[in-house]
Amino acid sequence: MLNRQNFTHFTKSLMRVLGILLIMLPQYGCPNRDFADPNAPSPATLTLQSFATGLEAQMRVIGTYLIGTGSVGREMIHFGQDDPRFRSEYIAGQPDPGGGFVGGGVNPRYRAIAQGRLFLERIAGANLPAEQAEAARGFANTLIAYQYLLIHNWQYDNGMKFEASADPAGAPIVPRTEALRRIANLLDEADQQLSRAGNAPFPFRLSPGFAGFNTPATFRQFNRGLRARVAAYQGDYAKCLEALSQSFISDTPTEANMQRGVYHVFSTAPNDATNPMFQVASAPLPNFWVHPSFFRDNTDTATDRRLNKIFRRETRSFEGLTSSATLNIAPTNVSPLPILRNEELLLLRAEARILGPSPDFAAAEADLNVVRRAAGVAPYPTGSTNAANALDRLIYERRYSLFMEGHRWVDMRRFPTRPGSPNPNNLPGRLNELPLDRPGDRIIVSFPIPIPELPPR
Amino acid sequence: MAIALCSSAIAQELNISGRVVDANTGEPLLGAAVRVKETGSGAITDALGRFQLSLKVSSATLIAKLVGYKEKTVVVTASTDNLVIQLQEDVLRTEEIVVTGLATGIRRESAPNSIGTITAKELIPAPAQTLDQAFAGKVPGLSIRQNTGAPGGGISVNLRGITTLQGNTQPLIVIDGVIVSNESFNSGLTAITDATVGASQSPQDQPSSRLADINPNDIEDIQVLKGPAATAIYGSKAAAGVLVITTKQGKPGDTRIDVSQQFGFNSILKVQGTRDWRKDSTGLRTAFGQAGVDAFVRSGGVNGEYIDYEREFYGQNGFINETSITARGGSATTLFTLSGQARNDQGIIRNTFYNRYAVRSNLTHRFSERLTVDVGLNYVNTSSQRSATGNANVTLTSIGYAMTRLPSFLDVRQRPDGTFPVFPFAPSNPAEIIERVRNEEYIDRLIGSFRLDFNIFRIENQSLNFIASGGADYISQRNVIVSPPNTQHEQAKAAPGENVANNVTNFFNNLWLSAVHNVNFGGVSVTTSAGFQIENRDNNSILVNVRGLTADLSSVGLGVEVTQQQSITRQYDQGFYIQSDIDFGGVGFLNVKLRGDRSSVNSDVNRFYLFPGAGASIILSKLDFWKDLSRTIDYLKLRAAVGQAGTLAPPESKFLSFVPANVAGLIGALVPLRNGNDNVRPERTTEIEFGLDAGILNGIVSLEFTYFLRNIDDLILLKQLPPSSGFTSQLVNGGAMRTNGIEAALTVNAIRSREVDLTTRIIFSRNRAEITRLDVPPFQRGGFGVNLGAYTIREGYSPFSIVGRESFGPNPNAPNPNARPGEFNGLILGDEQPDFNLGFSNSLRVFGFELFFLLDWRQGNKVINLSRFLTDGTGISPDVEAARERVRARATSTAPYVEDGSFVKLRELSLTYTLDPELTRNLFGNAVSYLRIGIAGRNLLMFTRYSSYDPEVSNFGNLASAGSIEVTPFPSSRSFYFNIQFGL
Repeated sequence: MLNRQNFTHFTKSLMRVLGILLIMLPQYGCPNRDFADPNAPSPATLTLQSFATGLEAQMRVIGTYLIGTGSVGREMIHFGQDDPRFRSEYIAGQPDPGGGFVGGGVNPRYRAIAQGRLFLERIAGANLPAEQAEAARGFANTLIAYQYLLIHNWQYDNGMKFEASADPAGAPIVPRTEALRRIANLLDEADQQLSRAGNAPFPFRLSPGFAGFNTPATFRQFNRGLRARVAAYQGDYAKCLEALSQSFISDTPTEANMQRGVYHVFSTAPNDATNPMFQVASAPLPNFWVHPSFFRDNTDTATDRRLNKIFRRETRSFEGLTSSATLNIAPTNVSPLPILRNEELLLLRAEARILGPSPDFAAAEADLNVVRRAAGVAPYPTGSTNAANALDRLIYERRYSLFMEGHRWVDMRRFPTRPGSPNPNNLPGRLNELPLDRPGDRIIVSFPIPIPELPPR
Repeated sequence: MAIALCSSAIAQELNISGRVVDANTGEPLLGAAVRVKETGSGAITDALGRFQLSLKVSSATLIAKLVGYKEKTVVVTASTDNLVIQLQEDVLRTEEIVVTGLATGIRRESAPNSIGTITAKELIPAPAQTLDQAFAGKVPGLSIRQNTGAPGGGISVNLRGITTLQGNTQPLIVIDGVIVSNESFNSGLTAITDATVGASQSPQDQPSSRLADINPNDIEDIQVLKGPAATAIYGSKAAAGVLVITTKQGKPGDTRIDVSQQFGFNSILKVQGTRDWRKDSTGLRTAFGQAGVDAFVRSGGVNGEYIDYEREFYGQNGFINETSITARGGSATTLFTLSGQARNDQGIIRNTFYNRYAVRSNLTHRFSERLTVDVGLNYVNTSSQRSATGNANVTLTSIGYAMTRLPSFLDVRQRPDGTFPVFPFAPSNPAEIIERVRNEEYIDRLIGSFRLDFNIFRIENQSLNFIASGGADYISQRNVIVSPPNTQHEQAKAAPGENVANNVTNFFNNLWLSAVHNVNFGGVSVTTSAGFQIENRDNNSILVNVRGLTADLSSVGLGVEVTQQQSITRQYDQGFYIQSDIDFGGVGFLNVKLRGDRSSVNSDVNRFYLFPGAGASIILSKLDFWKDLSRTIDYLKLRAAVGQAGTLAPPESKFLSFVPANVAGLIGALVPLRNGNDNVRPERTTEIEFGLDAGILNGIVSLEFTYFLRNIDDLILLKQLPPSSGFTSQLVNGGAMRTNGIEAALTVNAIRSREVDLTTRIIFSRNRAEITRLDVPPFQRGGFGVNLGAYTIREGYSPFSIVGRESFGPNPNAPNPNARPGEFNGLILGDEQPDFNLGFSNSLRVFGFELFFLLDWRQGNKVINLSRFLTDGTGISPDVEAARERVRARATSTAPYVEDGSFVKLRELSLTYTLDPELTRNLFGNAVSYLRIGIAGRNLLMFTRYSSYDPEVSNFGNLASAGSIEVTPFPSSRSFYFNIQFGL
């Protein structure tokens, strides 16, 4: 076979093969297989600013929390037709521990906490001047504590986890009282860190939601305000008053002064977020409707400016529920949502003066009247507040002042049961006074711990 | 040896001419190859079956071959001009070459695996809108699920059940040596439907699948390699099986042109019905409030109109027009195929359509005896309008979803002046969605393939070939989604009007370089091949979503709010392989193989993961002792094979990908929900299969039976992490699964004559699966949370197990009645996997008539029907009483919405008449070689107890399990055709 003709034939073919391969092969190559994530920055390249802003951004993921607490507390009813669980879980009171209507209240909080934790690690490794590092820690810890507080509100007696573990059994479930104590301690630790920051600025910028609270010194006032709220939840009214005195509490009875505080802010810019509670209140079929009792129970409907948070309209029924007003707490999709406002601080002081160890009803009445004047409602006649009506008056003002800010359900659970009020289901606090709209509906006392948090059984 | 050859070469000359004919009918056979064993030269027969050879040898062994016929060997010692070679039809297809490796094949007769083949003729007796549609009921173990009825497809292809929970579920698809993509790229529709907000998971875009781009008329055959026992040589991407698709190649001789023209229409396969409120209006106030009562009274109450909205919205008879032309021809050195197809389908919803234009050229050139090069080029352009269906939230911009709120007395149809009434019970008006919302998809696709076969040497009993093959697959997908600003559903938004522009480019290329050595000694043939593979995948998708529009325009240059997303996927893999096939004189066969693969998606990008395999078969009927039996059982083969293959982890598994999270102009990055994993490996599937193939009574009956068992280890799971850890999930190798199954096929060719032929075929398959080890806590996947039905993954249970509300906590009817609250009590509401699949086809040819039908029976699969959950909620379900009962029950149970999805479908029906050849000649002279007319239908009938449109459904697209969930989908359609085919 190896004759000349064959050989020529062979080489000719071989040259052709090589020619074809030379054209074909280079397009394949052997690209580098060890490349970084093409879609996202790797954690090592992130700045302190990215962590701080990311933390703020995640804290805003609060729609489910507000809808959940607002629905259970009978402030609102979600008429969204896309999912009956807004009614079955929150209004009928059958929460599914495996689903998003329970987990959605707390999971975003834990994500924010994880962000805060990574933020703290980054601060430790950032080689910052000591004061700035303390400032950054105080910022992160305050916000982490606030996130824990919301988890506490949601899960209440079921307890909550503080530590991160990939193993569901890895982190203990801390009972409620202990949880509140830890939250209080974390706020106090943050307070210390902020105070050690001195005049050093934060090593990152805060969003306009913290306008007026964006230095360690002013941010401390926010921290103390939160601490006052926790103290009230603990029933530690001495501590509450002490913390309030270090907060941004202010007595000027104007609407603007009531709104002073710290907010979640929104925008339509890329990779930013819009307000989850926004709706066009006058649209044909918005989702968020107001529980009918909210308007019905108001005693100053003509003047109370706090009713601007709702939009009165035609009556609408759905699944046996009825309403004639829609939520208007976020008139635009970039309206801010409050975290802590002066109005709440005033009401916390009133509470401490009513429920504290040495009640001062006159001082409490003064606080309530600041709030009422700012809302355009006639103040209570001087001296008309007494042991018999003080708590009712406080709860009333809290209901209208802090509408849909996540308080009503928590308040009705924590304030003492009205003596003699019928409580067939043995609900804690005043939850027995929340209205039930349909037979079979019940009031949820606390949301169960989500199934993924529990060891498999 | 060279000298001996040379001396014999000058000895004598043989001039042979003759014909190749069908042994039964005597008809001449076109395109048969007659090869001379001694010289390797050969000829191809023409239309009259003629061939001619001039040889410089004294004696020649001629081997005549033609696809579909048994090979025949004739020894010629003297020149002749009248040699007639009769070929026997290969009823059992034992001679067909099936693939065993990347560059090697073996006669089916000897194959150690069960390899299914779908030939061109079997593929589309009735036309299919998309290629994957035509797979149902044809090969045991190959099943499809149509995820959506929307024009343009969206079909999940599955071989032997489940191989993975999280990885790629679709078989690897190789067309003429090019690994092509069958991924489904999301369209961005959820931007409009908001299907993935809140508790819902992605993707819910009802994407089309990319196998849909291939023109079914281009396909010569599809070989179905069902699992690792056959696919080990394809390595780490082959656990889900491989479809080896070969397109039509040129044939020597006069150019033949085949023309096929189809006209037809699509119509809805099944309607659900809706409640007639005139007969019973109880609960009207509860469902729709006073406004509902008023509307009912306004409509005329009990004397009002019953508006059948399914008919209004899904009632279109969509026109179908398909033209296909294929030209094939060539000379001794150059062969070509040119084909083109134009297909236009209108959907059953107004304004929906699917158009495909495809062209292909295949060219084969023999540069010399040594060197053959094949080049193929395929361009496809499709466009479709799929409208908005499926799950929706917030504004409910989905036709089906909005219809779940639409009582039959309320008129929301378009008014004569073109405007739409405001639909008071939902934020969106379905009539308006149909007319005004656009969901368009445009695909441009180019697939280029080449194969180079170079014979390095060939001596008497040995040969060595070098083969390079590969190619590239480029896809550009463009989605244009428009929700105009002045529609009802846009009014509730801050910035009404929303447009989405989605651009996906996807590029695959691959190259195989192989050396194939063959040696024969003493009747034993050993073929050894070895080689390398390079494969690269690059995907880039850019989605821009704008809100706040001034006009009904599709531009994303407008708008006041902008969201942009980009996702890049890269995957670079390299592999090597070596394989040896030993054929013991056609009686026994043995092969061993090894593949090694490394990939950029593994945490260790440099490690080669090895996948071995082996197979053996013996044809008992060829052994001496069988002689007495051979009159009844003329063919019997026992076979066994074992192999490993892998499934790669999703490319993102190893990365911890921070997500952008800006606030008021400050740039933020947020810790992701999914944690990265720095130790992620391919899943490893080990499969063993045994089987037998038999032919009885001279091929009248043939039987194939296979049992397989698979163990899938290092199963990639989306491990749920307790959210308190800051992450909710992580992709980990954390479990094992076992699947097994049986497959059987029985073909009876009861009548076989020149005039009449009757062939009946039954295929059967049954798969079972069980999670055998779970290193992560049991978890639920799929769907919308446990209360609406989810799939549980836990040790000892099938991965298809559906659980619901009643599966957790104390329940007297559960296996563990005393479970604590929240604890799994063992109650399974159903299994998504069918008990069995059965395909029954019958083909009858009587003179010029051919009748074919195919029934596809799926038994015992369960489907979570959330469409019904929604219509029950609003009281518009047609079965009013039962719906009330379900609503009462659903406070404590999910079972009312887990339905039996068993069905029998008449997948294909065709009746064809071929004009008598003589008559054709008389009518058209030689201009027309054949003329065929016929009628055909696809999915003409469906028998099922399932209450909604089609139990073949998946709201979540292609999922190996946890897909059978229905949420107001695009209804399935049946199609009916009239066709005419002729040859030029």
